[in-house]
Amino acid sequence: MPERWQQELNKIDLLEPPPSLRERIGQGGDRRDVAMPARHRMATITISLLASVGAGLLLWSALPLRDRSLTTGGASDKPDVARIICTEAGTTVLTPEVRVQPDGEHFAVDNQAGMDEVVIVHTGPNVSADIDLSEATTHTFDALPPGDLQVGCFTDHQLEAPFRPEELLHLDGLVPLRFTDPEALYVSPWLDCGEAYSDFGPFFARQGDEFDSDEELIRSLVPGILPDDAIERAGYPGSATFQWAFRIVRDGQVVALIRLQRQIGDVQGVMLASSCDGSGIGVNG
Amino acid sequence: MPRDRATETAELVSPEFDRLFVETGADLWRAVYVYTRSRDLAEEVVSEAFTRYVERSGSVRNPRAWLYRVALRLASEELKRRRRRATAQPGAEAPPPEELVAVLDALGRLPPKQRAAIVLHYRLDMPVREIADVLDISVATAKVHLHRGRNRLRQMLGVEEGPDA
Repeated sequence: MPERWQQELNKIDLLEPPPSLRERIGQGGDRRDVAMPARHRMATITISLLASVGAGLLLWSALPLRDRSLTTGGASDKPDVARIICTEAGTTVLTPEVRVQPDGEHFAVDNQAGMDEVVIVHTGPNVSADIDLSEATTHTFDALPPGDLQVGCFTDHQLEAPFRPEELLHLDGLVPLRFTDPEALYVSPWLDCGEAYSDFGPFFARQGDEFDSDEELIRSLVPGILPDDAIERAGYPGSATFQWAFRIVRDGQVVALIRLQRQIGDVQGVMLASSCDGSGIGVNG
Repeated sequence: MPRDRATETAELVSPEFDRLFVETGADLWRAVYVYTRSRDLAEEVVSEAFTRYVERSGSVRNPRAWLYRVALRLASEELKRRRRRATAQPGAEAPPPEELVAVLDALGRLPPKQRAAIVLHYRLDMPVREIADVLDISVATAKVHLHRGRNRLRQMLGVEEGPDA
């Protein structure tokens, strides 16, 4: 009998390719200047959020859901790329304090020991990430909040057992690294209500409806937003996330997160979101 | 050797090409879609891979592996390009069918090569050696990707048999 994950995987067969696929072959309209290197080097990340966040991950795979105020001050002459060296002797951080950049937290790894990945664990929220060194030695993370991190170089074999962030924190060989945000670039996409939240949506606009702004679209589609609620973009301002992640702030508290989608075929917009219980946001009636 | 447009067109309408497309096209599109989570990008990449195949079909010994290798590399490069330019809007895609959300979300949390290895092996029955060839990695690394990907999917999607097992 197949396990559940295998049964879920089988559902991929339900995906229907577009009927135009065959016709597009040979048309030559999609050629792009890809060098096709012998070994492509795509930066790889895995944002592994605490499993207890649960269904929220469905909507916010790249956005944490629990707020921790981690923006810290710092001199602007600090480096803006975290430089890490992996050696047989362990992990060395050349830049113990680093500034975030507008598009996120930048890492560069000198992999002298043939390690498989660099694990990054936030000591505040239950967030971790990794850089797959087999594919890239630099990466920018746009979902890691500023604050104190623990980082370490590991082989795949060493990482077989631990998976959750709180387990990763117990790995031997982690060293500290701090990302500061002296210019307050990062807009927290975390709810201020801890785990007391619910997911809602999506909401589809009616065909033909037009909106002057993303805020108008959100207010039009999502029930429960009060006139005085502020709708703000969230994340790092130079990241792609910033284009579709919004937070709703009420009395200084983040009470809802909205993932905005626009221009989907004939549909004007779609929302997938989470809101704090009791906020009334996303609740019809 | 460059091939002229007439030759390429002849290839495109040949029974051999049609058979290859029927046998490979849909699965290849699904694999690239899972890799990229973009219907449009998957269509672009798959059509481009087939086009390049036509251009050099005489020199391709294993068409299926070649197509997967080219398509996944093109997808990888395009994702990288979009990330560099930070212009992509991840949500600007039609949402997948509801019954697929859980598995796509779980796969999306795997590193790209793990994700690709899992789909190639467990959905397309591709042998480990061929996966290594497609992903340009060693056989040992392919096994590690499968092992780790399997474990993570178990954690995220569960190990028990489903209700319709």
